[in-house]
Amino acid sequence: MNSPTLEISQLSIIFKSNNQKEITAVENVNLSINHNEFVSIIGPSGCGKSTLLRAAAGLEKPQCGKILVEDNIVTRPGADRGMVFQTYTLFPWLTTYENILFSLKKSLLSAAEKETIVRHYIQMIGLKGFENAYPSQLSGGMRQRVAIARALVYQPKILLMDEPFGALDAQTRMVMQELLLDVWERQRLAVLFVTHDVEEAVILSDRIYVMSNRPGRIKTVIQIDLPRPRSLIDLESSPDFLSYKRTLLDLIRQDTIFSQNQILSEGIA
Amino acid sequence: MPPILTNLMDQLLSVKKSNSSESVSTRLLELRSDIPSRIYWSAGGLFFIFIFLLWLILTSLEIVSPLFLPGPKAVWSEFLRQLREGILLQDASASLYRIMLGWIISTIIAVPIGILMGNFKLFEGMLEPFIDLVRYMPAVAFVPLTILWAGVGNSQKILILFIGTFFQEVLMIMDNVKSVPRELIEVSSTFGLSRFEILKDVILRYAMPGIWDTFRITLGWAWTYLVVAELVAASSGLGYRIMKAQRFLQTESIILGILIIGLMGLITDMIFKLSYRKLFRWLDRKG
Repeated sequence: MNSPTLEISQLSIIFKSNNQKEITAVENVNLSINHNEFVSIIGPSGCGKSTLLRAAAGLEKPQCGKILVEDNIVTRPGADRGMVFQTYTLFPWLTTYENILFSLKKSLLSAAEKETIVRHYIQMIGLKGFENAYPSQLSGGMRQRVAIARALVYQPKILLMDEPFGALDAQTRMVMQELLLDVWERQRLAVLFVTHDVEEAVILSDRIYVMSNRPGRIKTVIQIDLPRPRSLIDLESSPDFLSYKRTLLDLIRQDTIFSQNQILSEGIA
Repeated sequence: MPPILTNLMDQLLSVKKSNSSESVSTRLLELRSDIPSRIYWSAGGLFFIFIFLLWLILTSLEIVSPLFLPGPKAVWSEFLRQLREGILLQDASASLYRIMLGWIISTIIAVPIGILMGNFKLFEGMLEPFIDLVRYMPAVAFVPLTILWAGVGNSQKILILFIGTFFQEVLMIMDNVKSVPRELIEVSSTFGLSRFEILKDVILRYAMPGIWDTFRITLGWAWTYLVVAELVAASSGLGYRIMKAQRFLQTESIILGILIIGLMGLITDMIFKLSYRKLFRWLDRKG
């Protein structure tokens, strides 16, 4: 198994807007993620990073290019990839336990095995005691924990995360980043993580792809050589962390200013 | 003032005393804010009493002629008479039977079609224009046609109730099904579920409370179509009794019929509301 877990080559995605105008969301993107590698995509909002992730999940059809998961071509969503969305996607009529169990519907495990594994994940995300709570009784952070467990429980080859902490407040976000690092240390798997938060990307990733503005292209790839396991407190005072952060902020800033100007000039025209 | 009223006034005033910093009207008329449930329910009860008293005063002082508006006493004795002679029970059960059958047939057809329309654009495109056209046609205009089609028996009444209910119900079910967030469907597909499984285990489960509410609302509409359904060629039923009373100017019988229909409609409404709370406990439960 020398092939990468996820390989995206020459991918382009074009949307048709209501007035038949074609919008290129993603243009000629090449990207690959190795086994157990944590990779982030950052870029200004509207740069097509979420579209790219959704294509990897099989939720968007690319016009050209190829997506491979361990040499299998992706044509539709499947259980070899787990997905966590920014919005809360728990099933409101199911409890924490039932929500996690639900994603094992297609699993061939016995009922007893399923129970063991679900309990294990509830423990891992720190929600012991909340097994029988409905999503409406959980906080935003707790709901995303369940969503993470639900995406991991069926042992996908790669976890796809679309700004999963974007809707959370700053404190909860930090706690969730630590939790994700902790979970990932225990169950190593490939992760593709989309965010617009530079700091978040540096904290979590082995490698960061920086996307430019529409049409979304890969601008640079930056390797993050910070020792693991990482702790958020230690990182804050690490000069390497700060210099990574600064480099990336500079890269993003140029594009953000450019895109703002573009929007302004389009508005005037 | 009747003792019930003074009692309620006392209750209202005691609330005022307990929070003297603000006047009671400022607190009760705060935009969108909750008020004590005791006051909420008292207000509803008081309004009923108000309407009843208005009725009593208008009729007992003969401000309105008893021919146009009979007093509560006349309606009450008409109620007792119909109850004694067994007419009321017979009418009510005949009407209830027609309504339930018309509504159940409508629902059995509306649910699958609404589900198809809500999930597949093909069915929506095919059926929505036609249903939109038919649902604006007045059910009462179908009465002569339904007699030609279904005769003068029960099936004609049930057909009218069906026409009145179905075309609205189908569109409401479609909207209920469409209310399922896209991400919920997408996340289910990442678990490897088939389209049918997503439809059955996710879309329908999510839409169920909305569908249940549609049942409640459409059954309410069926009650309002009752008089239309029993307009012609009926020999029993609450609507029939009203139409017959009109011929003999028995206004107390008309008012009694209207009250009974309203009350039975309210009861079926309450049954759906109470079962809604029992069935969908997972909705909005704050821990």
